[in-house]
Amino acid sequence: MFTTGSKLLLGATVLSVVGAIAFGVTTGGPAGVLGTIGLVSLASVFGFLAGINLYTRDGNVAALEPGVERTSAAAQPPVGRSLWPIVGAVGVGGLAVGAVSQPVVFKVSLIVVLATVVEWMIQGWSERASADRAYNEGIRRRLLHPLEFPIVGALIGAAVVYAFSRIMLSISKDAGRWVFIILGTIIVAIGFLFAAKRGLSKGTAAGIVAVGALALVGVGVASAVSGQRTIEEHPHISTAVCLGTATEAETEEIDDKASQDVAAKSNVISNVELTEDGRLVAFNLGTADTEYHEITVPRSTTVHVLFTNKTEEPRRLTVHLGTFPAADGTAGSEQADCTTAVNQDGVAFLTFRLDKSQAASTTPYRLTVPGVEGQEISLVVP
Amino acid sequence: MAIIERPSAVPATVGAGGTTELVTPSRALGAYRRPVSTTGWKSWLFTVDHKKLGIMYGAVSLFFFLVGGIEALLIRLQLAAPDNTVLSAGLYNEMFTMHATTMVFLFVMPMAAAFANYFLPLQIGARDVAFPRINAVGFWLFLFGGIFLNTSWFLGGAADGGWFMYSPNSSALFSPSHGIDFWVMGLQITGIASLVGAINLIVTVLNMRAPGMKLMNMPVFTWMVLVVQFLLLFAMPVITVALFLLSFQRNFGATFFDVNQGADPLLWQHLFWIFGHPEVYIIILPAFGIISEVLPTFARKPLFGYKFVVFSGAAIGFVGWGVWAHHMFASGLGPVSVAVFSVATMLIAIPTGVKIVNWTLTLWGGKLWFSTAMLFSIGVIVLFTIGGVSGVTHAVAPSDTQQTDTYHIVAHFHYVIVGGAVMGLFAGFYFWWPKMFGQMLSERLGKWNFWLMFFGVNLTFGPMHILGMQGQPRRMVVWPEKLTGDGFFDLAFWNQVASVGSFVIAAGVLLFVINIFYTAKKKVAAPLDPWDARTLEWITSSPPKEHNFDRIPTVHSLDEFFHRKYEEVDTENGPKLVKVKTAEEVLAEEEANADHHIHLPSPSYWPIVLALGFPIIAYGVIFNLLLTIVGTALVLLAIFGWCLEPSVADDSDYDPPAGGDSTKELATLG
Amino acid sequence: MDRSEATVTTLGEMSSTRRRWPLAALAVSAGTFLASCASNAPQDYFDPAGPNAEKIDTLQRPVFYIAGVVALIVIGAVGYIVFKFKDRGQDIPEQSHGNPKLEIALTILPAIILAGIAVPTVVTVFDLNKQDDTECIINVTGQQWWWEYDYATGECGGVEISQPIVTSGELVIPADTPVLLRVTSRDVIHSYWIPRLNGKRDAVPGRLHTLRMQADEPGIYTGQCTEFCGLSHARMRQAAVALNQADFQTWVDNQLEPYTAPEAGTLAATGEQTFIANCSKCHQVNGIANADGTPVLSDPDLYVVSGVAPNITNLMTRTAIAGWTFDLINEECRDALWTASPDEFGAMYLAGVTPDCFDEAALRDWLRNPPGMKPMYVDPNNLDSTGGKYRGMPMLNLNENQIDELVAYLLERK
Repeated sequence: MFTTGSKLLLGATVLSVVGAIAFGVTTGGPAGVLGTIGLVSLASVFGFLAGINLYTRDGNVAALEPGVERTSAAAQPPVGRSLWPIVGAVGVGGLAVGAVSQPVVFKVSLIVVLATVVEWMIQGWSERASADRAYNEGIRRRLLHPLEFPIVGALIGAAVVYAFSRIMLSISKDAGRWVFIILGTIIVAIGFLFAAKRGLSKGTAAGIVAVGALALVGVGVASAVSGQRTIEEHPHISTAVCLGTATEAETEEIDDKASQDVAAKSNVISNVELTEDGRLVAFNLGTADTEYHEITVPRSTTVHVLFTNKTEEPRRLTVHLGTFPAADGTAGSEQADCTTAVNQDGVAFLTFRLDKSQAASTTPYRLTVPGVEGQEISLVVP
Repeated sequence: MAIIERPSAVPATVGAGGTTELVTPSRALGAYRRPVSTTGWKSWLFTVDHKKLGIMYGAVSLFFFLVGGIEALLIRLQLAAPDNTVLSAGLYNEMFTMHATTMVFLFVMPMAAAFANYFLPLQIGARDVAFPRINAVGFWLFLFGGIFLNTSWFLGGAADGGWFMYSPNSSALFSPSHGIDFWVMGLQITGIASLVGAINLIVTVLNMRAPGMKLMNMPVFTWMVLVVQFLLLFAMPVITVALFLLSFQRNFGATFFDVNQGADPLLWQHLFWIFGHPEVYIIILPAFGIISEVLPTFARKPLFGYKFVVFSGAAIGFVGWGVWAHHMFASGLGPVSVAVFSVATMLIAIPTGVKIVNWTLTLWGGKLWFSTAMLFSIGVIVLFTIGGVSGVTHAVAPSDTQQTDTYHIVAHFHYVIVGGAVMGLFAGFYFWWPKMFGQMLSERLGKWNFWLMFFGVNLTFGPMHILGMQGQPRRMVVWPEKLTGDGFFDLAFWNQVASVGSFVIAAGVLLFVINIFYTAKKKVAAPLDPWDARTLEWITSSPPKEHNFDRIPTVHSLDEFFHRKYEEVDTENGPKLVKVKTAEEVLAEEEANADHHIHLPSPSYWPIVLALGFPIIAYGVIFNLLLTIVGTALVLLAIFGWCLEPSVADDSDYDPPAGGDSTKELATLG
Repeated sequence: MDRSEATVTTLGEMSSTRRRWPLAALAVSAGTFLASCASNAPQDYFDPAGPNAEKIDTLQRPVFYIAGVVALIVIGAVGYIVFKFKDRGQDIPEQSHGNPKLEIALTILPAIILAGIAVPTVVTVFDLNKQDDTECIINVTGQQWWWEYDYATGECGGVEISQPIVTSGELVIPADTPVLLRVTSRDVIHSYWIPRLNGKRDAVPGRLHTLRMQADEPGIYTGQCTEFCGLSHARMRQAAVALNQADFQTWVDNQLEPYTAPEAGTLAATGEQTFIANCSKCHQVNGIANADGTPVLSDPDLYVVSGVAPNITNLMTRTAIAGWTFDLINEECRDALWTASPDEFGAMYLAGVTPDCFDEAALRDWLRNPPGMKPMYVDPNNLDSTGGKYRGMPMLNLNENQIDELVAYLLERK
C-alpha cells in the first residue's frame, strides 16, 4: 500500500514529531518554543510530501489506474530544457553578493531575478497550455517576444554603444579618428557584401554579426578596464587670476588647445590682439584693418571677443566687469572674467555681457592682459 | 502579416497518441478574437482595408481643410482694412500659425495620404498594403493628433509662434501659454503616422506589385508617392528630433537654443528647414503624380517623357535635401553658405521645369477633353509655373534678402501650394470620385468650382506679389495707413482685392462640398470607365471590391488598361488606334478567371486603441505627468493585444456566401 | 473608331469651355511686372535709394524679366495647345512616349538660363558682403518691439563722435557715406530692413551680423521688422534718416549737448520730478540728477525682460515713439517731411518736433495706457512667466495732471 518514497517521508514525519516532543519537553524558554515550532513545521512538510508521494504512487504512472497514463500531467511528454533555473540561481546568488558588496550588483541581480520569475512563469504556463508542443512554444513567443525583443535589442544596442564609447575614450584623439573611419568602412563593406550576396545563409550572416558585436564588446570591456586617456580639466578661473592678483600656482595653467575650441568666429564684436611688441589692440567687426583702443558694446547684450596672443609669454585676456555697491551698501569688489592663458599665436574666446551703463560702475569697463602693464582697451557701454 | 494566412487546413496533432483535442489559434486565446463586422460603424472603426482608411483619411482631411480655410478667411478679414480689429494681435498670431499647420500637416499631407492609400495598391495590382494594421494605426494617429492639436483653442490658446516656430520666440519665456506644447506634441503624433505610413507604402511598392509591373511600368502617381515616402522617411526623424529638443526646453528646462547658455538659436532653423524644405516636395509631388495621371487620360496620349518625369521627380527628391538654407538667406549665414545654397536652389528649378515641359508636351497633339479634372490639371500647370518662376527670383540670394518675409513670398508659396498641390488634389477628386464611390461628381458644378478657385487664387495671391514688392512684411496683424502709398499700387486697394479673392476661393470650395452632397443624393451610378482611363485601378468594379481584383492582373506595359482596350489596326490611311474591347469586357475577362484563394487581412481592435494612447500621453506631458502613465499603459496594452490577437478571424466567424466550399475564402472580412 | 462608340464607356460629350482663362494669369503677371516699375509705397524695394539696394535691383530686375518671359511663354504655349488640340472628333493620337533629344534639349536650356543667373548672383553676394570701405559703425540692437541704435565712438562719415549716442526708432546716418550696421538682438530674433537701402538682415541673440547701409541723398527711408517676433511684430517699425555732413554734425552735437534741467517753477520742472518718480527706473535721460545732485541712473535690466528701455534724452528729435509706431508729429508735417526734397530735408528734420507739428494725442494715449495701444502682454497683470519683469512699457496708472507734467517735460527733450 505504501510506496517506497512515501515510506521514507512518513518515517521522517514520525521522527520529526518525536523530535518535537522531545525538544519541547527538555528545552524550556523561548528557544524551546521556537525549536518546537520548527520541528512541528518540519513534520507537517514531511507529512504533506508523504501524502503527495502516496497519491502519485511515487510518480510511477504504470502503478495508477488505467487511462491515467494518458491524462495525467506526468504522462505528458517531458518539458524541454530551460535556462531559467540556472539564471535564477545566478540572480539569487548575485543578490546575496550584492547585498554585502556593490549596490549595483544587487540591482542587476534583482532585475535578473525579476526577469527569471516572469520568463519562468510564462514558460511554465505555456508548457501546459495544450498537448501540442509546437503550439505551446508559439503562445509563449507571442506573449514574451513583445517584451523580449525590445529589451534585448535595447540592451545589445546599449552594450555596443557603450563599448564603442569606451574604446573611443581610451585611445588618443588622433587614433580615434582613424578607428572611427576604419570601423565605419568595415561595417559598410560588410553590409554591402550582405546585400550583394543574396544566397548568404542566415546563419553565416548572424554569425558574422555576432562575432563582430562580441569583438566590439570585448574590446570595449578591455578599454574600460584599461581606463580613459588623460582628459584635461580646466578649473574655473577665479576673479583673482583674471585680475592678476592670484598666487603663482593658480596661474600656471595654460591651455594649448584653446585655439582648437574657438567657435563662432564670425560673430565676434572684436578681434583683440596682443602684438609681438606687447601692445593690446582691437580690430573691430566692420573695420578689420583699423587698430582701436576702444570698443562700443550695447548694454544687456551677450557679445563675444576673440583674443590672439602674439607674444612669447603665455597670456590671457581679462574683461573688467565693473564695481557695484553690494546689497548691504558697502563698496563691493571689482568683477572680472577672463580666458585661459594661451601660448604664442594661441587664440581664446571670451563672452561677456554688461547689464549696466558705465556710469553705474565705479571702475571702468575694460579689457586688459594680466602682466602687461599700461595696455588696455576700454569698453564703452552707453 | 500582410497577405494573410488562413488557419492551417490540417489540424495540429499530438505525436503518437493522437487523441488530444485540436487547437486552433483563435480559440486558445479566445479573449483576443478579431472583429468581423462588415457593416456599420464597427466595420469602419476596426477596419484595416486600405480603401476604407483612404476614404476616412480623405474625409478627415477635408474637414481640416475647411477649418484651415476658415482660419485663412479670418486672416484676410483682419487684413482687409488698415489697423483693423477683427482679430486681436494674440489671436491673429495663433490664427496664422494654425492656418499653416492645419493646411500643411492636417490637409495636404493626409489628403495625399488618402489618395496614396486608396490608389497605390490598386495601381500596382495589390490586394492591400504590406502592413494593414500599421496602416490603420497611421490613420488613427493622424486623426487623434489633429484633434489634439485643435483642442488647444479651447485649452488656453493655440500655438502662436508661426508654423516655423523659430527659437527663442518659441521658448516658454516668450510664449508662456500651452499652445506651443500642443503644437509640438500634436506634430509628434501625426509625425508617427507619416513615418509608419512611409515605411508601409515603400514596402508595398517594392514587394507587392502585380506580375509584370516593373518599376518603370508603374504609374507616375505611384512613382511620386514612392519618392514622397522616402522623403518622409528621412525628413520626419529630423523634425522629431527638433520637436523633442523644443519640448524638453519648454517642459523640462533644457537649454538647446538658449543663448545665455552658449547655444545658437540658428540650430533650430537648420533643423526645421532640413525637414521643412523636403516637406515642400512632400506636399507638391503627390499632386504632380495626380496630374501626371489626369493629363494623359484626357489627352488620350501617354505621358510625354515618362522616364524624364519619373527621374526628375526622384531628382527633386534628392536635390531637395541640399537647399534648406535658402529659407535663411537673411539669417546671417555668411557669403559662402549663401552663395552655395543659392546656386543649389537654382539647380532644383531644372527638374521642376522638366516636369512642366513634359506636361505641356503631353497635351501637344492630343485629343483634349476638358473635364473638370483636366481643367484643374491645366490650372496646376499654369499656376505652378507662376509660382515656380517667382521661386527662381527667390533663389537669387541678394534679391531674396529683399523678398523674404514679405508678401511676395506668401504669393509665391500659395501659388505653389494652392495653385499646385491643392488644385492637383481637386483634379484627383474629380478624376477618381467615380472609382471611389461609383458616382459621378456633377461636372457642371465642378466647372464652376474650378473657375471660382482659379480666379480666386489669382485674385488672392496675385496681388500679394504687389504687396510684397511694395514692402508689406508677412505675419503682421495690422498694416498702417501711412505706409500704403497711393495710386495704382497702393497697398490698401490690393489688400482688399486679396481679401475679396479669398472669399471667391471659399465659394469654389463650398461648391465642391455642395457637389459632394448633391452627388450623394442623386445616386446616379457612374459608368465603369467614365474617362476612358489608362491604369490598373480601372480594371475592377467601381467602387472596387473588398479584395480589389478578382484576378491579379498581369501587366505588360505602362498604361496597361489602355492597351487592353485599344489596338493598332492598319487602315488605308496608315495604322490607327481602334477600341477593340470595352472596359466591361476587360473586366468580365478578369472576373471569369478569378483567383481561387484570396486572402485578406482581418480587421483589428488594436490600431485605434494604440493610437488613442498617444494623445493621452501628450495631454499628460502638458498638464499632469500622471496622465502619461495612463496613456503609456494604454499603448502597452494595445501592443500586447496587437501581438496576441490571432492572425485571422476565427474559422467559425467566416461567413461563407452561398456556393460551396471553394468560395468560402472569398468571404468578406470587413 | 466611331465616335459614338466611344461614348458608350465615356461620359457623354465634354462641355467645351471657350473662356480664355490664361488671360487672367496674364493680367496678374503683367501686374506683377508693372509693380516693379512703380514707386508709390515708401517701402518699394524696386526703388533703390542707395548703392547696396541698387546692386540688388540691378541683379533682380533682369531675373524678374526672364522669369516673366518664361512664365508667359509657358502659359502662352499651354493656351495655344489647349485651343489647338481640343477634341474636335479627331482620331486617338499616336501613343508616343516622348522624344529624348527634345527633352534633353529642354533640360539643358533652363540649365543655361539658370547658369546665367547664378554667376552674377554669386558675384553680388560677395560684393554686398564687403566692408573694407566702412566709414561709420553703428550698433543696431533689436528687442521686443523696438530698435536701439548706439553709435560706436570714433569717426562717422567725417564727424567725430566723442561720447556714445543712444537713440531708437530712427537711424540717423550721414548721406552718401558707407555705414556698417552691427545687428544683434537681446531677446528673440528680429530682422532689420530698410527696403530702399538694402536687403534685410536678421538680428539673432548671441550673434552679431553686419549690414551695409548707404543712402545717396538726404531723406527718410522707412522699414519694418521682418522676422516674426511676437505680439507686436506688426508694430515694430523703424526708419533710416540720411543727413548731409553738416546736418549730421549738427545732429551729433545736439545729441551730445549736456542736460539742461527745466526752469524751476515751470510745469516741466514738476514733470522732471514726475519723470524721476515714475519713469527713470527704466528710461535713461542722460545727465538728469536728483535734487541732491546725484545722477539718476536707470536699471532696466532689473525690470524688463530684454534688459533695456529706450533712452529718451532727445526724444523730441524723433518723429515717432514706441517702436516708431505712433507719430509725434501731425499728418501734415509728416507728409511734408517724407516728401521733402533732399535740399530741404535736413533743416526740416533737425527742427524736430516743433510746437506747430506736435501731435500730443498719441503721446498722451501712450502715457495713459501703453499696453492698450500696443499689445505687449497676454495678460498685463500676470508676470509669472517672466519672473516679475515687464515685457514692455507697463500701465503706470498716471493721472491727467501727471501726464500734463510729463508731456511738458518731454517736450523739452530735444
